[in-house]
Amino acid sequence: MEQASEVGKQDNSGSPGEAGGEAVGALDPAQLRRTVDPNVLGFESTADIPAASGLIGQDRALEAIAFGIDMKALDFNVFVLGPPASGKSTAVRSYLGERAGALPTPDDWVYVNNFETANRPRALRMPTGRARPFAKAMLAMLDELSATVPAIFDGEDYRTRRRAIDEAFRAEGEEAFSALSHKAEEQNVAILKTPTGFVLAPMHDGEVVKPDSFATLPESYREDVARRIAALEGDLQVIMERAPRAEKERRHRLAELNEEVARRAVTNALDDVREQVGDLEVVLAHVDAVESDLVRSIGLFLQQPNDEEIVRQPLDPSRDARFRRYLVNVIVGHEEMADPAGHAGGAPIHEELNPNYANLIGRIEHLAQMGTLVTDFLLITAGALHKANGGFLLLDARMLLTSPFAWEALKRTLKGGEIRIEQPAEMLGAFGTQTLEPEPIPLDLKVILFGDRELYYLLAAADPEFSRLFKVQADFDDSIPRSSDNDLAFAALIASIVETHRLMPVSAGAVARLIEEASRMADDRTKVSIEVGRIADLLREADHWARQAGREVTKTEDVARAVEGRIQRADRLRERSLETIERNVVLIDTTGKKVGQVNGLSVLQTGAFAFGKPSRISARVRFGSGRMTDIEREAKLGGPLHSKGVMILWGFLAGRYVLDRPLALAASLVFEQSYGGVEGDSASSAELYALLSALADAPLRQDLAVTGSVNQWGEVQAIGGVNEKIEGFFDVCQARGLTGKQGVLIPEANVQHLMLRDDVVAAAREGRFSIYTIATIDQGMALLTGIPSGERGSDSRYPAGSVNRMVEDKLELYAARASRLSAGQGDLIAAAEQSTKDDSA
Amino acid sequence: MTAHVAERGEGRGRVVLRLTGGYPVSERAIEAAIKVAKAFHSEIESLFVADRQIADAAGYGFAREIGPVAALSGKIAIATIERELELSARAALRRVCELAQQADVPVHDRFVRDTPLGALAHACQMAGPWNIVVFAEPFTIDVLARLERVFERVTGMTGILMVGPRARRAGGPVVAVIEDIERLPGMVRTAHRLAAAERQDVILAITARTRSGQNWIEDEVRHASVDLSHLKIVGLGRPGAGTAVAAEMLRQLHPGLVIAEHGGIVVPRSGEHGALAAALECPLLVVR
Repeated sequence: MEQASEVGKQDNSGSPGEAGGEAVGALDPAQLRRTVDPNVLGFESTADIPAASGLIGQDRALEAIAFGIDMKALDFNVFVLGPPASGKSTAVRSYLGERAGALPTPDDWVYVNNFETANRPRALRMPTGRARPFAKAMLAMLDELSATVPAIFDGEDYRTRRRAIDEAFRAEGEEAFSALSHKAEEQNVAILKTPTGFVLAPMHDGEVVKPDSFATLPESYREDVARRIAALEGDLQVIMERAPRAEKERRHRLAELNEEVARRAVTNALDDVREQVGDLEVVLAHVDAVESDLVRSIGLFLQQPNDEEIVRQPLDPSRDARFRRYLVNVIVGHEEMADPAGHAGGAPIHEELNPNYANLIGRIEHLAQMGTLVTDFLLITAGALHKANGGFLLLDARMLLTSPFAWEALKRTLKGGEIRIEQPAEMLGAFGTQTLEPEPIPLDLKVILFGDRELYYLLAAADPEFSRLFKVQADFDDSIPRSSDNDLAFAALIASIVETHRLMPVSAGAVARLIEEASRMADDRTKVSIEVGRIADLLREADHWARQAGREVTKTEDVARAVEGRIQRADRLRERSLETIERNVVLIDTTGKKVGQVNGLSVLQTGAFAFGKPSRISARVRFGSGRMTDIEREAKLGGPLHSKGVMILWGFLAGRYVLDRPLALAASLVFEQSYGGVEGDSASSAELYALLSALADAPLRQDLAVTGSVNQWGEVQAIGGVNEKIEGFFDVCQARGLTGKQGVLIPEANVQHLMLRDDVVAAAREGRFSIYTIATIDQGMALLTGIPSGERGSDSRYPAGSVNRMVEDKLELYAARASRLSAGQGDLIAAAEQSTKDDSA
Repeated sequence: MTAHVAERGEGRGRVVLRLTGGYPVSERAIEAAIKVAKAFHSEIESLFVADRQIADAAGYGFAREIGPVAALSGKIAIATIERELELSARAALRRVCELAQQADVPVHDRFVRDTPLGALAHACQMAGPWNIVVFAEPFTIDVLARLERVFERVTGMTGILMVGPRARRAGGPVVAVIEDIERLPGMVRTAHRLAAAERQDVILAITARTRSGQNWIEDEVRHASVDLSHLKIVGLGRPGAGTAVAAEMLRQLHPGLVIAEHGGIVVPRSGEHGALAAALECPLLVVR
């Protein structure tokens, strides 16, 4: 929980801090809320006015974007900073939409197989809209080949030529063998086949003669037979040795025939493809490589389907893994951006909502096959950088930074000027198996990052490369000044929200109410918030209530109900807080007077809802060694700004009272019943009022609450959350019954921020609640005590009876006491002074 | 005699598939044997013949085994040859059994040591005469030239089924080559039976040595008392053109099986057999 209290501004008449405490009047109720007269808007409903085409009041940011877009260099990227839901993205898209339309549509890109090194797919650039037709043509070519190749190789022409080759070689061998066989038969020699060759032996009546019988024959005859057999064996050996050479020659001739036939088929099939890409030299080179590979691999089209297939499917190149290397992976195709005549449709604008590494750079997917992960160029998928290349890439900076590797990858890509797809594991050197190294694609785009200011400054401070790569800062304002022109511009913005979300028209009254709410969102009556998201949310809720009520136009009461509904849904804590005060669990006085006690104000933020609550601040004083005890700080509940505020009080006291002697004061300050941290200096004026009250022994009005910070001269300074703080005290008072005397003291500088609730304004108008603007502490003390503060006279003394006089008298008393003690008990005083120094250190 | 094979259990014949050690076995031949057996509800005797003459030849001191290259030629290692023959037999017989079982055709196998022709003659004599012999190895012109001798020696058979070196087709019409009108009824019946099993058409291919002869045969065919419905009648080329033309005409019919008589124009007893070996892409059933 954050607490803060507030302050005002000093009357500059007279010397600072010496203001006398002139009477302060309550603010005119008209100053408590700046309303809009629906009649001056000049329309009945948003249906009568044109919708805004983009954001309003963002000229500076849009000029920055225009500059970034016009700068062609890769390092002039744009960081769009501004509050969330401020419509940055919508506005930028809308703006870019107009610019991108006039820019040329970038080329298409495809990945194809690298027939020399398969794991390095080639990236081919093609003119816009020609990538997908090329991919289709390649597939059609394969379809054609799957139909024509089997027919050609089964055709008479091919088979006749093949048979001629076969027959030439077969007949040669067979006839030689047959002749030898006849010759052997004539010579009564049998040729027998063995598993690995032939055996020749003497034969009689068609059968081999038993060696025993042969041995009985005359020796000369046997020798003659042996000679004849040896000669035949020699002839046979020649025939057999000729066979492998003939077979080799036959295969060579067949291969030549196959290549000739295949080339004819492939060349014919590629005719259409070549015609389509004839003007693209690089693509033609790839087609040539495809042709060579197809001719070499023509057998792919002749493989019979597996006999075990239940249903035999015709060859389908688009699904058959064997043909994948001939297909084309269209990584970026812009044919949808071109009109039928092929005219370009502008540069792409791509917004990546989930900018993780893979979605940004692209990925190489894998398929599990037989327990192994495999991949090829067809499994390369485009990332946002590919899709936006040649145009604009819109990214949310926070999401980008929280995605591992993504930010580094984006920077690397921008620096290198090319999109190189790598697996994150590869970058870490953790991927052991072979994967793809696709050829990088040249980069030419503008990256537009969206983020809040804090993130921008953080990046600028922490990453030196950020400023080098994102040289253009487009700072979106969250509010614009209120003026009659801007009121109309705001109405046009409402009309665009109506159009975007298809809501019902909004009446002029409702628009006026929305302007007032937007002023409240801006915390400034002179400005109006242009956080489109928040306004659109409120309007959509109002539209819902209007529809519930059966209206066709959203009216003022619908907007009011939406506002109330939002508060109601979120104000459980506020109710609990109020209840504890009503039941005196938390002690807050709203009537009477007390010494050293004042009602401070703080703001609690719960999500998108903020509310104010009063806190009792009390001060106690006594004679001492010059020490101010901030109990919040001592208890480690006070933040540094709060401690600073308390220390300023000492500076105020020391600079205004008892100027010639040390302050012999011991004081303590505390936020009563505060159990959480206290931060901010907006309670410093309240703390000073309590302290002065305690010193002067002058009671303070408890029917008033105070906010504002203070400086050492007693000037009250502006604070934040003034509306919530006033409303917080008002709610407490209203719950107990408004007396007509209750009110809040606010810094004069905060008047411009007042956009109070209708009920507070109404109470003020009826004189039941008042808002006072305070410039100095003296004004505030006068109002709170009913006693003039007093100004130093010519005698350098404050007037008798004035608050300042009473304070100074008390401090002089303490100082005199200290002098006496010092004279009599020097050691004691010295010890007290040393203690003070230690505390200060 | 008409090409026919006895039904299983009759004991009068079967499809005798001869596998000869040393020659490559054609899967198409085994499939053809199975189809014939199935068509006639017959069975297969798978006969692996290890040529005993090789052992005799090994007994000659001067005899050598001639290998594909001179370095592999040398003394006959009969033990090695016999071991390889046995292993080849086992592999071939197992393959035959596998295919026959898939077709639900009974198969018996035997391993014999004999001459290839002697083993066949003996096997057909044991259960005959209605055997059809199937040569498991692709035929060469030399085999075609020696068919005469096979028909002489192997008496217990009605036909020889062979596949050529270019055999690649087992489906398609059954083409019966009619060169002699007297064979018409038997040829048609056989063709019908073989075609019916495969639900194929039957084509009667008529050929003769003269134009008038061819016209006369065609005329007779058309007036024959056989059922010619579901038949297609074609002329097998120019009369008298010879074996080569007839073989090419046959190829162009894309048959699944050709039935032809031995000693006719298509399968002459002697002469040019090369054209038939080169053209025929399907099994050939040669009948007496």
